[in-house]
Amino acid sequence: MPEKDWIIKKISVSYDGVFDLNSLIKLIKGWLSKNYYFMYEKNYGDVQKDKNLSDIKIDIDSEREVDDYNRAHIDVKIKIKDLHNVNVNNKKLQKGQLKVEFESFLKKDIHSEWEVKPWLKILRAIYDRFLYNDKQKVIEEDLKAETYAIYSEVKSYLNLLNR
Amino acid sequence: MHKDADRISVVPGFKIDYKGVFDLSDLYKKTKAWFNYEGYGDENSNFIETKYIERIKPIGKQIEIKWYGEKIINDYISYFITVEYTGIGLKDAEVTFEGRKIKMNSGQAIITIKADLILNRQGKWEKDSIIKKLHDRRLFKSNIEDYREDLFNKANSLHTEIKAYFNLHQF
Repeated sequence: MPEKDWIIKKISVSYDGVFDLNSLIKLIKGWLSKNYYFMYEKNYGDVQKDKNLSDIKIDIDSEREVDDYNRAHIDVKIKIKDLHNVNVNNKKLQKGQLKVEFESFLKKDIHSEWEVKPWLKILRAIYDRFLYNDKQKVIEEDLKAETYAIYSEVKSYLNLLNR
Repeated sequence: MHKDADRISVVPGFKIDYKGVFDLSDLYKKTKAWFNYEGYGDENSNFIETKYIERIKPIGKQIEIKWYGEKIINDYISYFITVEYTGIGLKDAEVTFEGRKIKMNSGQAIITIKADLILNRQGKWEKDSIIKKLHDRRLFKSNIEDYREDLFNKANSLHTEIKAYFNLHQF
């Protein structure tokens, strides 16, 4: 089993107002694919509270193989309370309480090559701790920076709508 | 499935959770039609309904259904797709559409889709044999990646189809 190292446990952007859900999702998916992440919509939850009022939850998981040993994951959770459609300047937009959460982690030994025998597992711990440490730190820093980059992208997108 | 066959999880679980008014039997038919169209739906060979449970509870009917379909790709590979439906608190509801009254259900529907790639499906090689490892990890590696991608796209298309049925946002 690959090991999981948390890089960013949870950061979130909250917004209450009018937004374009389609372009927000496209922005997130576009950013991930531009940065070579393979993504998939893991969960889609919709609670219809009324004819035109619903609570929505969308989980987008994404991953990118950094090298033969590490895989970077950025998971995005979008939660919207009281979502309903509104018309602004003849454009169909959405209104509601939006929360976008980001978390990232690294999966190590993704091909489980070091777990076949107990002595290999010990060797791997030594390798992780002493030999691979510097490179590992760079990978971790990169993933941290990427998570903050997508977080900032969403933040500025929502601020842009406020103008 | 043969005991020496390898099962690689391609989609561990796409989940759709919907609470509102919908037509369960229509969803059932539409999903089955997708299985038929994609070549997973022959009830005499590769399609099985492994579970059908219906319970009457005070909050409404509870239904659990599990399907799986297997599509043989070649002598070595097959695709395996599992769909699980859970209906909670299902009640009869009547909806007026274009002046007509239609019988539907109200309640919660949870649908989970899983997809696995089966390698060595006939068990030609022993599970841990060197030749199998050499074949899967070196010689046939890029082909396996292509099959993984294809299966992922298939499961994703079913996911999109079900989302479209519930009239959910498409991105």
